[in-house]
Amino acid sequence: MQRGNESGILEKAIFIVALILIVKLFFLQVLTPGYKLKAHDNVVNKVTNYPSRGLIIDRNGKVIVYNDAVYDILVQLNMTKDLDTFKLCDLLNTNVEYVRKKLDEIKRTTPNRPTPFIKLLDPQTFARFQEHLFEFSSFSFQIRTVRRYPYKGGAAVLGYLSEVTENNIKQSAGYYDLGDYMGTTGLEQFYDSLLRGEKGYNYQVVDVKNTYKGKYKDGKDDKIPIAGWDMVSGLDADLQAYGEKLMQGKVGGVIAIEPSTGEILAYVSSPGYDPNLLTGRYRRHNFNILYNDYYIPLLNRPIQAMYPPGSTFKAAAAMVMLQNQTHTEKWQWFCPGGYRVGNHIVKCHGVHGIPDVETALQFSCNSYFCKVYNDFIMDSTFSSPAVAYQKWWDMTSLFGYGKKLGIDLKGEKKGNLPSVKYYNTIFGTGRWRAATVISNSIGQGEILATPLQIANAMVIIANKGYYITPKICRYFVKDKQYRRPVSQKISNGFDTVYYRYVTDGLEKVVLDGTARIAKIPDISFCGKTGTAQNPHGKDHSVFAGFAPKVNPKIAIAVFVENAGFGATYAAPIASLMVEKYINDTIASNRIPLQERMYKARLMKTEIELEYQKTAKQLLLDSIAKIKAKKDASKRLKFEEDSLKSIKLKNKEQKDKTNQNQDSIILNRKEEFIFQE
Amino acid sequence: MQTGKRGYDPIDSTVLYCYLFLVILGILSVFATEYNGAVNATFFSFKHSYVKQAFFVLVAGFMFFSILGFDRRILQLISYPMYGLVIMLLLLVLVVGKKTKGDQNWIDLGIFKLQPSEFAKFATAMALAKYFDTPNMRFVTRKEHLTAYVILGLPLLLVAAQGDAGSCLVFAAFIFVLNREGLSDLIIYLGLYIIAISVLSLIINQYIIIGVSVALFCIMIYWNWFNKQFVRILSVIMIITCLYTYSVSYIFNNVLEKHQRDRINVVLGKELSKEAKRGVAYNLNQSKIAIGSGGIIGKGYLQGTQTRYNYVPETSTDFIFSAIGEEWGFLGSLVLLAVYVMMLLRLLWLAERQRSPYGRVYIYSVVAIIFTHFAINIGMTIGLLPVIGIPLPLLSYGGSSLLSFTFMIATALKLDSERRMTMR
Repeated sequence: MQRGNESGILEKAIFIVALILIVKLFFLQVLTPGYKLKAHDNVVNKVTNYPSRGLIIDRNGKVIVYNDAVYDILVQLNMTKDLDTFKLCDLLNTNVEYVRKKLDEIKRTTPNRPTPFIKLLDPQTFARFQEHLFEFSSFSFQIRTVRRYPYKGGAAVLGYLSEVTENNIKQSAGYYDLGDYMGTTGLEQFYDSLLRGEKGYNYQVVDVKNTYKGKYKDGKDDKIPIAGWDMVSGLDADLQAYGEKLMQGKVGGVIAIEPSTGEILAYVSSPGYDPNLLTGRYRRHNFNILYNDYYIPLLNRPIQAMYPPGSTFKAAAAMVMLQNQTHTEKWQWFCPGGYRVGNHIVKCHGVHGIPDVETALQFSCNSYFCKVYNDFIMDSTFSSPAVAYQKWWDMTSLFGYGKKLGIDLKGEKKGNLPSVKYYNTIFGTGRWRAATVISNSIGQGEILATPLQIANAMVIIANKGYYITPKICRYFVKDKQYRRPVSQKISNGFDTVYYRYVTDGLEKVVLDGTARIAKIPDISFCGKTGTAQNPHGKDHSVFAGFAPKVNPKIAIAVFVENAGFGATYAAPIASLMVEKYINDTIASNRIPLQERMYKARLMKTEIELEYQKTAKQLLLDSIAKIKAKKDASKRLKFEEDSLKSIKLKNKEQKDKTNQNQDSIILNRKEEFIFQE
Repeated sequence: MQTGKRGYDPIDSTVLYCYLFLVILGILSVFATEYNGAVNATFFSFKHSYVKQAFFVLVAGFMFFSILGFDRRILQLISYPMYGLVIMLLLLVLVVGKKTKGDQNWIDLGIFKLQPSEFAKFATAMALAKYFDTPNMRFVTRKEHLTAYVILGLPLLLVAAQGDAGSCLVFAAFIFVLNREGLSDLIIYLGLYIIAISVLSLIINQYIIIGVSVALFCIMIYWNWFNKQFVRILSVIMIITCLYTYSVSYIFNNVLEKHQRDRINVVLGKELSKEAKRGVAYNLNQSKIAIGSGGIIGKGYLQGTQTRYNYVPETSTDFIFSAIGEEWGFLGSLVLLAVYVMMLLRLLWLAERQRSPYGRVYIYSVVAIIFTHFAINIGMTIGLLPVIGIPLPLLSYGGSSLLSFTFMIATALKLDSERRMTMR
């Protein structure tokens, strides 16, 4: 007794629904491959363990850079309830604004995972916070390391670490992740891949609340961090510190090289800064101050500042003359106190009589070297001055001028040794002669060199014909394994006999020449002063030399910007450093000299700079104003007045700052934040 | 199994095996979502839902055999009283009920949380069967229709008042039963038509729909111009369509609650509020990740990370299929679907061989109920349907649900085994 619609719709509905579900499941489970990865990403948490970065040790085994533990405070926002913001601020030394801003940011990005809230917290503050950690249950911490510099110096050569950029991450082929730190300047950058070691990972399984649920695959994929290689450098920490102290208050660079090995002994860029400033929490704050400083302390002067080498260039010039046999060592030339080129006279610092090559070096006779250069270029055996110049260029460049030397730092500048092509475009082919480019003979004009190149030229003379690629790193060591950077011995092919005359001449410079002030008791110091004229104001004070004369242990170049004669600052500083390095002490009769160098302040103070800026602006403004009125007499008077007042102000300021002697950078000491 | 006596057949083994399969898979899956890998003193503690579920399974087994022991006449006799009792409970739950996720649908009895709506389905099926069993019932008069609608409508309204959309849909599914008993197919097609129009008008601009449908209807009316009756029906449907389309957005925005709107929007792939993205959309996505990451053969039993580490919400109850999909993969899901389909079809077949309207209507109702649960639950875990809180029959954790489905199936089997006793 059946009734109704026997074949119900329900049966069809069951089939249709089942089919739809199966199709959808097929799509979801078989055809879409992305879900497996998503599930994996959900559950597996990669925890990075940072390796300790390699130490940097000086040539005597003193540690110059080590690691210190600091702490990142992490917060997992979705577990945060009833946060006592004020207590948190108090414990972590921050302000409410920062906390609010940061929490907001985390809320938007990763509220489900522990996210850095404050990075690189110092151990003292952390210890205080740790006692209260139980009150902030959603907070945790991770240990990170920061670099520490017990000598508070050498910032330019050691470099600093900074957070990686997107670009760095791409270039690192997957090694770096966001939030990692890598070496961005100096040795830290150049040897980053060795110093950094290798990061380790723990893969953890976590539930939706990010609670730890065990190791992923029982820790099969986990990796222990591998510590970085320790670097033994050729630097002498004491000499480095001494050099920095001598250079304080002055702008410039010092570089000292061990001639026999090419190892850099000291590397001073002044004004420097305490490298500890660029570690830890306040890195950005301090960096901004340094970045905006008038004297550009972040500039790596020994390899990046290009100065005219001035008279230090004459040592190479003398070698070129002898090797080319333009004149013999006995050849003499009358110096009337200058060398006449057309209407122009290259002046000498005095009248030098009839010098030969040694005497010419001893008294830095400009007219002698102008004549030599002129005779080289205008020699009739060459078809044209350009051909002669090319030969001169080739021989000079063998002393390391105009090319990169391959030091183990990035950003090395190659200086400038102007080419034939350059002069051809400036003056026209065949339209220039020795007289046109006479400044080259005495290291002026277009010639530019870094302090490193000048020191290296001295290394070649000290070694009588060769240099070793300058290197800061001696070797790397880890677990009794060693790795050495590649360095080459490069000879310049000059006849060894000629070095004797130049070396003798350089010795006389110190004994009884332009650099008598640099005489060191018991040490035969060979060197050459230079007074580099430059378009940026007062001459640079330059000195380059090596000691002792026999079996030289140190070659050195010193640049002091806008400091006047080479003998005024550069030569004393060089001699004190050489004495310190070789004798380990300073002779008592030279202590006053050392004190004078310590105290010398050549940098302008903050107020001076500010005043200089505003005065210049005022001047420009009023000139513009008065020009409109076409009242010349008023303009002159105003200029005089303002200049007078600037001078007065400067004098007052100088007196004031001379009392403040300890800082590396004078101007802004109070603004920095040091993290203990 | 009872054999021998005249009029008694052994209970149907296909359905029984399907039932056992589902219950056992259910308790295994509930265990998988909860078990944390450690066997310790609290392993058998009643704090764990798998222990409770095991207890409920025991109770359910006891109930199963008790029902087999009843006389079918007693079952018929208590149909109306049970219906009345359940209606009372549904009223009671509105007064003293506890809320979970906005649905006020259970009464706290200490260890056991009673969900009257689960039993209401069972009782309504019995009451409806009883009503169709009345002599001279032909389901043709207006009075007969009205009475059947009241029997279904009363519990539907009450669960709607609780905010239990899932149970509402289940009661709506009784339309299949009425259809079997003579209700026109048109009603079901009309229902599908309304659903299609609703979905369309949520996706597309309502004026476009109104324009297109008016145009279509005009063409159809033009073609059938001489069939006056048909033209009349078409005109009525056209007007209703236009009005309905116009009102859908109003209903959507003003009648539905916010969480319901969000759930629908997720499935329709619409722009979501931040809150919904982090809530509904996140949960659904995690469920899809769980099922999708199972792949073809699954991650293996107790290896499902998504479900075991609580990335998928409600894994032991509404989203138990996520756990199965993740741990057993596509093949496992296929087997599960096959078992359900087999059980439903077998029950349908049993329904058709009943001699009394009581047995037929009752078993048909059971099929409709289980089918609705099955379709909606799995559909929602894989993102085909909006998330509606409704358990997967016999698998989801929950005593009320398990017992209620056990009652239904045991009664169906009992009725089937004694089908020859009625010789009317």
